Parts: sequence; structure tokens; C-alpha cells
Amino acid sequence: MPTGSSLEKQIDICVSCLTCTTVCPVFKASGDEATLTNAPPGFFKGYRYLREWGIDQDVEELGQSLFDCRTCGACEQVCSMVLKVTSMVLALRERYWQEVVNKKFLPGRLKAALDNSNKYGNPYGQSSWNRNAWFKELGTRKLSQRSKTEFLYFIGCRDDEWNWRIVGATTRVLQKRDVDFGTMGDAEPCCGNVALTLGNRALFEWLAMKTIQDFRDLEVRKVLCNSPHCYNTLKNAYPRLGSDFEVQHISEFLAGMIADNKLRFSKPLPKIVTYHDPCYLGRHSGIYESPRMVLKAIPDLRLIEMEMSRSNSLCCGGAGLEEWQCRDLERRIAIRRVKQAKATGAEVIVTSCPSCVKMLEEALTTLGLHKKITVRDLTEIVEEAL
Amino acid sequence: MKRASIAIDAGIISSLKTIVGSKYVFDQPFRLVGYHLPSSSYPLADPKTGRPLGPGDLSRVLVRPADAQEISRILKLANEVGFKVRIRGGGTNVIDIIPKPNEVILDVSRLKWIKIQPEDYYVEIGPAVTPLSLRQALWPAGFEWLNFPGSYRASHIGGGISVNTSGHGVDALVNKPGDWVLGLEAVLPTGEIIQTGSKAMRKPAGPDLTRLFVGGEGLFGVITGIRLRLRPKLPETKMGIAIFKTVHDAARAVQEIFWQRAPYPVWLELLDERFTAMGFKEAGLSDPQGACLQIVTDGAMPGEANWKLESILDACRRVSPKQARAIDNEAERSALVKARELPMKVLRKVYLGPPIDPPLSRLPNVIKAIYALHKRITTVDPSDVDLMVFGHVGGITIHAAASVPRSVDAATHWKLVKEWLELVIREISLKYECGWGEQGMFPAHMSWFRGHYGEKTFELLKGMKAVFDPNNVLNPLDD
Repeated sequence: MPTGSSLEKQIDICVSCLTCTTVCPVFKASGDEATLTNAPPGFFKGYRYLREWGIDQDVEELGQSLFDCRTCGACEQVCSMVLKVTSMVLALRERYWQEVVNKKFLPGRLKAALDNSNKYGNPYGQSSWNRNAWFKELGTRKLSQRSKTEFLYFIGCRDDEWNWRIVGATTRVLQKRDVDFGTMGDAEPCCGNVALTLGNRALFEWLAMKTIQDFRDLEVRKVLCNSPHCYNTLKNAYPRLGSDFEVQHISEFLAGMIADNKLRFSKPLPKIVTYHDPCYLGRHSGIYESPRMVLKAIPDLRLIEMEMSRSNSLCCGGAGLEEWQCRDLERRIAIRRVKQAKATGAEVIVTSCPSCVKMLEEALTTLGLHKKITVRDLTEIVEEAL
Repeated sequence: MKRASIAIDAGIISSLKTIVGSKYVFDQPFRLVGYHLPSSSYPLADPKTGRPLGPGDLSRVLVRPADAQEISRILKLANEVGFKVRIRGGGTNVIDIIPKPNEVILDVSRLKWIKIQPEDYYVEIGPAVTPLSLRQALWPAGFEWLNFPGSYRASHIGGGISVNTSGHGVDALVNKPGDWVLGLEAVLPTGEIIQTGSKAMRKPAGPDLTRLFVGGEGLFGVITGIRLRLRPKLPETKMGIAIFKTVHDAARAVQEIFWQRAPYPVWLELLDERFTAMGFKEAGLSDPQGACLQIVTDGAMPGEANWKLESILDACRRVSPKQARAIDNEAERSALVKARELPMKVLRKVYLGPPIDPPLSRLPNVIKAIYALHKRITTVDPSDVDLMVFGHVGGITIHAAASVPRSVDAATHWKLVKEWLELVIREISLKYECGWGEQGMFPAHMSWFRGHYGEKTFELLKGMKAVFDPNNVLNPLDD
């Protein structure tokens, strides 16, 4: 991640060709009211010059634009100067946090996410006491010093109906295939993704160090995740802090089982589906083929690609932060994506991220399409076909 | 007599809000900075002096009207009150158009409709439609838009027509964007809305005011609607490549393509040895150790594109290329397209240089002269400047891109850009009677216009401007 003056150098490398604005979901969804500050070149250059000129009257505008960014990485696919825009955004958010936020403004409810992480150890500020009961009902083992398993199934902080749907499906699939796994139940720590994405590095590192220690205490060697946001954080941000465990996304794990002939589908699913690539699984982690391999292994299932897929995929608008960002903007982005899905004629949108499932499902409801098209996590489809 | 310009104040901003609605008027400095940036890696600076700009040098307001009527009211207000108006299209120009404090930025990006009329063989569009979105709209109807600049995703066709820039297509086949214009709607600087041309497929005989706005660079009015003749999408394209020992051989091959009366390609790109080496490496191809011509042909009949390509490759073979062949592998074709794009992303500060459009017979000499000119750079040590010659040689346009290490400071880079621009214009473009086939001229590149056409012509242009724009309100011509 660029730090210090290197961020300014990166900003100066940008030639304002504006190609990124043509793929930026926020810029597109902001419609005719967007200015260049709704996309990377505008807020980077705006920040650079306002700072140089010592102007802070527009700091709220800067904050809004900077934190509206979904860090989806679509801009990096087309950047004329091959800039690592997401890293630059995170560096600027970190800078914003250090230089500005305590004096002025953090948009929307984002501050609550950070306060909750600080106070409760998770951004939702929810108690995790009911997790034990849930896992008991699902028949899942809880890891402890005396009870170890090959895999830790890391379910993430989300405590909503979408995540629990996915956790249920994943648990049942893993159980049916006799995978040796357990969870940490109510003791599962937050990976710190929200703090990292919002640029509060100190808070992220505090959460991450705690998680690494918890994993060490339980001698965790392999971690399975549903959330691409947790996956990306554990896999890509933790090693610099000394993590030494292996991380797999559930789609990789399932694809591996199919390749090893450990997972076969007996039940045909004669459905037309389209697959939505989550940004943090696809562009940020390079996992495009595993979920498709799983879907293609299901008998009678027909996979049709959307107009924008794989590295060209359109963000769902959630970015794993949908609880706290501007809901109206999120919805507009998700609606664009759902319209692309509808154009394929698919009955089911499959994805592999709790945040995406929620965003796309809500967009279908907004458009009145929820009875015609459903959204399923990959694990739910797999469970259905077993 | 020209009225003196006044500064934009709260009263003017309030009036603009009344015309277009508050949400389409932007006056926060943070939001406005992005509309002042040149498409370059040097910072915000006065285009004439290089002085770093401060907040007081920016325009105070950007206004985004919905249609010609709102633009008309803005321009009438400008004439009445005395402020200036700078038209903003896609913002992808590579010349330094930096709105001034007394100028309102008139952003036409809301004017982006597309109405295809296949029965009359035309399409009507708003000026903010991009080449990519027009192509995407036309393909399902069996039509094509081939005037593609490198900025095809973000640039506006209205801007392309206003500058009449060719992009990368071969003019002889694709024509200039303005050649496809059957008619326009435009708002004059004094606020009147006029229509030009007709809905007929044939362009008007006699005086046709369309021609004033095509290539007019916004001096005579704001284009608010465009009627374009449709072109059928041809079913077949074919790509080929020819590698030569030197860029000079490649230039001779370009001459042979025309002199042998080979059919016109759609796309003909030249990359010199350095560009080829870097581009091929970045695209994962092995360095062919030479200069490269990339050729794309199209055809309506089965085999036509291939026949055209082979005819062109035969012409190339007269210059003994290291290789000249068709590309049948889709992966190689994609890699070659990438090789053409990627060297722009080198880890250096790059200035593309102005367009150099030599007469065909002078192409090899012009390229030689460009390399010689490189040694005359004084801003930095010429050995620190990498020169890459490339271009759209079916046009013919070539660029002499000068790049320096990223460690070169912003002020020095700015000076180098200006030095190289003026050197190329004076020692190449004017000396070798080159044209100016792409990008815009006004206001930053007027030295070519004045040098090539002469002061009398420039005065004539200013006189024409004064007829249309007596108060010099729209895209003001200062010099």
C-alpha cells in the first residue's frame, strides 16, 4: 500500500484519462449528479490540490466521495497507467483518518462500524451469544484446546438472515461430505476487514493480532470462509502480521473436492443460472473458475454469463459495508447488476458472498422480480444438488 | 466592441441554479479541481507560463444543463451579464484547456440520447454519447461506428466532431467523424438554437453551416444534437502484422501500401523498434527485434477481408520485411492489440506529442527528422529522454512520444512538454508541411494554426468568431 509521499507520487502518475469513470459503479450509479470526485481521478486529485492549497472547507465532500468508493477494483482493470487504485484508496482513507476524521467528518454510519469494532470487537455491535445455540442446532463442533479439527470454518461477524442461510447450507454440505471441521462459536473474533477497508489501520492491526493469537491458541492450520471479504483479509492482509495458517474460500474447497472426486452431484438441477463474481473473490483474489467449475459439475444446470463477468464484473454495491454506507447509492448499483442478470434469462443468480446475496436479493425485490429470479449462494445450490 | 469579462459571483451562480436546477450546479473547489486537469502526468499549471495554479485560478462553477433550451438560457445570461463559458465534453483532450476564473464550465454530459432510425439510415445522438456506447447500440441493428480514438470509452462523439479528430481509423476508409454528420442542432454563442443539414441521406449542396461546427472547436456554438449517417457493420475482419528491421523500412512500406494501390485497411498502426520491444514484452510476446506495422482489414463478402490483407502484406513485402503474415490465432490477435496499448503505461512520464501528419512522400524523412530533433532538447539531458515514434499511419498521423524518468520534477516535466511541443511544431510540422489530423488546436496549439495558415487566416477566423460571438463569450479566443 502506498504510504507517505508515495501516495502523492501515485496520484501524480494518474493522467486523468478518465477511463476508470466508465467502469466505476459509483460514478455510473450517481448518474447525472456525479462529478469527477465520485470516481478515483476526481477525489485523488481533489484531495491532492486541496491539501497543497491548505483548503479544508470541502473535507466532508472529500470524505463522502472517498468512502463511497466500493474498492471493487474495476478501475484497475482499465487504468491507463496500471495504478493499484484500491491500495491508493485504502492509503488515502488511512490518511484521511489520521489527518481529518477526528477534526471533522466520517460519512454516514461508518463511524459506528469502527466504534463497534473498538467496543465490541465486531463492526455490527452485536452480541454473539446466540451463535452457540445455532451451531448446536446444526450439530457443529466448537473448537477448543481439547477439541481440534482439520479446518476452522470462519463464519464472519454478520449476524443476519443471509449469512445464517449460507452458514447453514455450508455446514450441511461439509457434514454430508464428512469434512473434519469446527467453528469458534461465540468466541470467533473479527478479522478486521471493516477497519482495514475504512483505513483505520491501528484498529485493524489490533483486531488482526487478536485473531492470529486466538488461532494460534487453537492451533488452527486451515481456515475456510464464505465471505470473500474475510477471505481476502485473512489471506492477503494477515501474512504481513505473521499469520501462518492456510486460508481457502469455500468455492475453492468445493472445486478441489470435485477435482479429487470427493464431491459428486446425484440430483439434476434443470435451471438456468448466471454467476455474479464478487469483487473481493474475483478481481482482488483471482478466483473466477472455482465457482464455475462447481456449477458446471451439477447435472442439467445451465450457466449463462452476464454481459459483465469475471475481471469485468460489476460490483453489487455492497462492498461488505452495506450496513453503513449510503443505501440509496448501493441500491442503484445493485439494480444495474440485477438488470444485467435478468438480460441473460437466468432464473437464479448464484454468487459466493453473503454481502452480494443480500444486495442482489434486495434489488430484485425493489424491481419486483423476486418471484421470477432468485439469488442463491453457491453453497445453497450445492446443497440442493446433493 | 467586446464587453469586458466579469468574475463569477454568487448572483451568477444563483441564476444558473434557476436555469438548470441546484443539483446540476457545482461550485465546491473540491468538485471542480478535476475539471481543470490536463490529461498529462504534470500538475495543474498555467498552460502558457507553467506557473502552478492555486485555488483562485480555477473556474468557480460547473453547470450541467439538460438540453439546448437550458444552454440557450445560459448563453443569453452570459451575454447579458458578461461572464465567459467554456464547453466541457468528455474531458479526454490531451491539450491544455484549463477553465479560467471568469469562465463557467458548461458540461454537456447529460445530453446522451441515442435514437436509431434505420429506415432513414441515420442515427441521432446527443453530443455526450461515447464511441463505445454508440457502437454497442448500433451493433444489434447491424450498423457500425468506426471513428475510434484511444479514449473511445470516455470521450464524447460531440467532442470528436467538434475537433473533427480521426482517432485511430484510416481516414481514407473510415473518414473523419464530421464526414458522417448529416446535420446538427447547435446553440449559437448568443443563445439562438439552429438546425443544420437535413434528414436526407444526401448532404446539402450549397452553403451548409454544419461545416462551421464540425472542427469548430466550440468557437461558433455548442453542438447539442448530431445526426449521423449509418454505416453497415461488415461481417468480417482480418488482422495482419509486418515486422521490419527499422522504422524507416516500415515507413517505406506504408508508402508502398498506397503507391501499389492496395485496398485501404480499417486500421494501420506503426510502432518503432523501441515501442515494439516494450509493447511485445508487456503483452507476453517475444521481441521481434524490429519495427512493426499492425493491419486490420474488413470485408462485406466472404474472403474479402483476407484478400485486402494479403494485398497490403504484398505491398509490405516489397520492402523485404522480416515477416509479413496474417494473424489467425485469436490469442495472438488480442496480445498484439495489447502490445499497441501497453507501452503508454511505462514507468516513466510520457508526453504523446502533437499529431504529425506528413504528406505521404515525406513520411520516411519526417521520421528521420524526429529522431534528429530529439538531440536538440535542452530542458533536460537528451539522453534522459526516451523517444518512441508510433502512429496511425493509415491516416497518416504519427506521434513522437517523449518520456522522462518519474524522478524528473513536475516543473521540469512541464517545461519539457512545452519545449518538445514547440520544437515538433516548428521543426517538423511546419517545415515538412504536415497537417494536424487529430486532437484540438485551440487554445493551446494555436502556434501550428498561425504558422501553417498564416496570420491573415487567423485574423479571418477571429472575424468569423466575432460575427457569431460578438462578446467573445463562448470558448473565448484570447490571442
